[in-house]
Amino acid sequence: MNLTWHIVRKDLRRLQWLIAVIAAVMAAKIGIGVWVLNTEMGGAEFSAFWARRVLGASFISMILEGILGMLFVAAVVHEDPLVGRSNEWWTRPISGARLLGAKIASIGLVLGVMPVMIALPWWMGCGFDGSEITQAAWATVAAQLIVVLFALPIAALTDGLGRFLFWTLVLWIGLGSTQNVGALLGENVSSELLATRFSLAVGLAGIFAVAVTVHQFLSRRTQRGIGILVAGLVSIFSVQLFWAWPWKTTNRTPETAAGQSVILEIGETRTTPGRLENSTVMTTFRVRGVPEGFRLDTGRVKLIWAWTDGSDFERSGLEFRQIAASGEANWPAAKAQGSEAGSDDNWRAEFVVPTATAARLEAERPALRAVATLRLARQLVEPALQLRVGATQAVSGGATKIVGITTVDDALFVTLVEWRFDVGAGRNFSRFPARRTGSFVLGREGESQVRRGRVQTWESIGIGEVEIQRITLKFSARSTEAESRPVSAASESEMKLVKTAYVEIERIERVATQAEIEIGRKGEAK
Amino acid sequence: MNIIETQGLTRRFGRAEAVAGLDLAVPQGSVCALLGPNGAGKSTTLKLLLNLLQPTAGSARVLGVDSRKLGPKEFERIGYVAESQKLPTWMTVRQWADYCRPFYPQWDAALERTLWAQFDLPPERKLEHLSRGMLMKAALLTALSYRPELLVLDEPFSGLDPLVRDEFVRGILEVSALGNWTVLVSSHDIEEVERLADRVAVLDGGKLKVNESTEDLLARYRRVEVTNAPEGVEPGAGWIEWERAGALTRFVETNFSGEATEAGWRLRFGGAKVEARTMTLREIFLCFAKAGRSEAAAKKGAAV
Repeated sequence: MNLTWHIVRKDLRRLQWLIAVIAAVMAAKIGIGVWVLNTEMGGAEFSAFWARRVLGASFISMILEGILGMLFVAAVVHEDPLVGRSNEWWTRPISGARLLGAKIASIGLVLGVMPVMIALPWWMGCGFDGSEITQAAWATVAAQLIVVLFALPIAALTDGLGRFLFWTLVLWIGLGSTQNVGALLGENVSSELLATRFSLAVGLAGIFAVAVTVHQFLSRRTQRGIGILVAGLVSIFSVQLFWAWPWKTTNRTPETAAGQSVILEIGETRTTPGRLENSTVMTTFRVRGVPEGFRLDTGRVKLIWAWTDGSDFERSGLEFRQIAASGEANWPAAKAQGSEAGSDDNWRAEFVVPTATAARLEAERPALRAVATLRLARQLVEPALQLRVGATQAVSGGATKIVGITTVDDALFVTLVEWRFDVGAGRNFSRFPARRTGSFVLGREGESQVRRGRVQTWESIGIGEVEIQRITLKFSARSTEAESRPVSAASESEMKLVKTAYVEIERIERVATQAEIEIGRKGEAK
Repeated sequence: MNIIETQGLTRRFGRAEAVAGLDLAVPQGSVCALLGPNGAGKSTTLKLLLNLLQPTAGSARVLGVDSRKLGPKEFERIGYVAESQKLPTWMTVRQWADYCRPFYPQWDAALERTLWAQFDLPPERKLEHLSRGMLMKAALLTALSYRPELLVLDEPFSGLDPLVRDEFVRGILEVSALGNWTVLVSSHDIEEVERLADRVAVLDGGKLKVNESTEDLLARYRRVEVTNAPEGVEPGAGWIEWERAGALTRFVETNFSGEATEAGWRLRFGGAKVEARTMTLREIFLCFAKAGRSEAAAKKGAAV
């Protein structure tokens, strides 16, 4: 064990500058988060000027962290190379297992322990409890683990930075090309099967990464190691192309069971002659059976029209969106908002085709099959927030804070900063659309008429497992209905702001078919 | 007892046979020089012995262990210094010695101090800033301080100026006098090796030509000059480099055994004047090299 640490100390001393840069990038990322949470800058100003820079810096720090992580893995392994015939350490009394242990310890310290240590004060400052800190730490380590598992086998099979970078690029493109290869080749794949294939591919990638690395450290037979790597790529490719058995979720929780009642029905299709030779074809749908307290978020739909000659006309990846409901809201804590409960809503999908195709659609009355993927979300009403600058409402794993209130003409602008414990890949950098998070209403508790805020700016960044959103809301001057008092006259002490959020439960897939569609022309009576 | 033993050791790179069926034995306590021209297979042989390369066929045993199974326990007993070794050049000499020390339970601190003094190494200078000679000395320091039972040196004199070579050889000689070590040194610098080695193995084209003690080898070889040799005398068995120029006939006797051999010459050359002189290791090596080259040329010619 002492000898293992002896090697670790040597590697860390050798790579001290790279480690310092990695630490600086990680600390800078946290610094951006601290700055965003504490700046009192106004909403519009923040968005117009600083947001791009903050988002850019956050994005750059994330990319840099990944690249530096990979370089560190390569540098640690290449410090005692496993490829070649002239490496000094091969004739020293150092076993492959000991060296592997030392390299893993070095990588673990720099890419596991160090990021957690740097982020720990940040998580504590954000109000995370012990369980959330544990989860955030695990998520941080897991994100680094992906980088390590990708870089480690390549580093073990190369003897220099140039080769490492070249093969990283090749492998990255190779693995990327296997993603969803079945669908690209025209295979009709369900989202469940896609998810199964993806999980299997990720699992296989992990297993083969470990196998190649361990094999190379223990045997230093590079050609055999490359063989294992190629076998891994072939098996991943095969799974993505040929695996035909989706994993079914049999044990549904009450929440995920809610999605089972959702029914998709095809409404009507209309065409609109567009400019030049293109027409817009819009199909409406009716979604029924969304239980109270849940809603469906925008998804994707694939439409397959069957021509009378037996061939198909298909449009996939179309945005499937709800036809927006409007109107004032009720005090959300007292009653779930009717229009947002999601039941019996109209949805639509649009696409553009040459006018001749649109005319054929109108003429042939083809059968339509629609496959829609939707995101089922649960409604969550958060505690009310007093309308004053600095008012903070702590919620589990984070808080909401009002950082600015301004009046322009007769409208009220409120800027909020929210931070939430947010563990999960893919959210480190994102600008979530407003509809994802529900609505904000302003009013007095118990009032029947309250005002719904319109989102003016919405910036979102993920920093160290904390999702920070900075939102500027506009409450219009007057209500469209009976309420006539200008909102700008509202007494801050009386008014409260309530946010309704939606937590994504699962993605559900629904299929609707209709034997014959009568297609009308937009603007004409049917 | 042999510290190194190989049986039919072979290594091919594609179609080229770098080492071909090598049967080599290095007795314990000997200083064995592995000689051969460039491309003879010396470095490949050493790499096969130290498990830096895997044999294509045959086997080797080092310290009684199959070379493919050499592990940390065996490497605690082996020292290796090679011209082409990739060293941690970012370290200072002291840092390198400090790094190597804990891996060897038998590390001899007193010997290390002796070597520091003897080699006159700058402890705080990085390896990348050392001259070639200094670098080899530093490598030797970290390879000798744990008193290895087997010291393997691969072209250690290559690129060293004569003064440094002399110091280096003297260093090895002085240190080898401190213990009963076996040394296997590959080189084509014959003069330096002659001072070191008590045993010689000559490789050519991946094949072992000679493997015997230096003393026996030097005793076996004589350069012979015959003045006024009778016409029609053909070369005898074991005579190489046979040539006649006017009244002078020259050859190399490879099986000289004193009186008996001299009597044989007298019988063959009658009353002609026969002068024989001892040969240096360098001259003997050149004989092998020339023979190897003619053999290769003949093979090539036959193939064409």
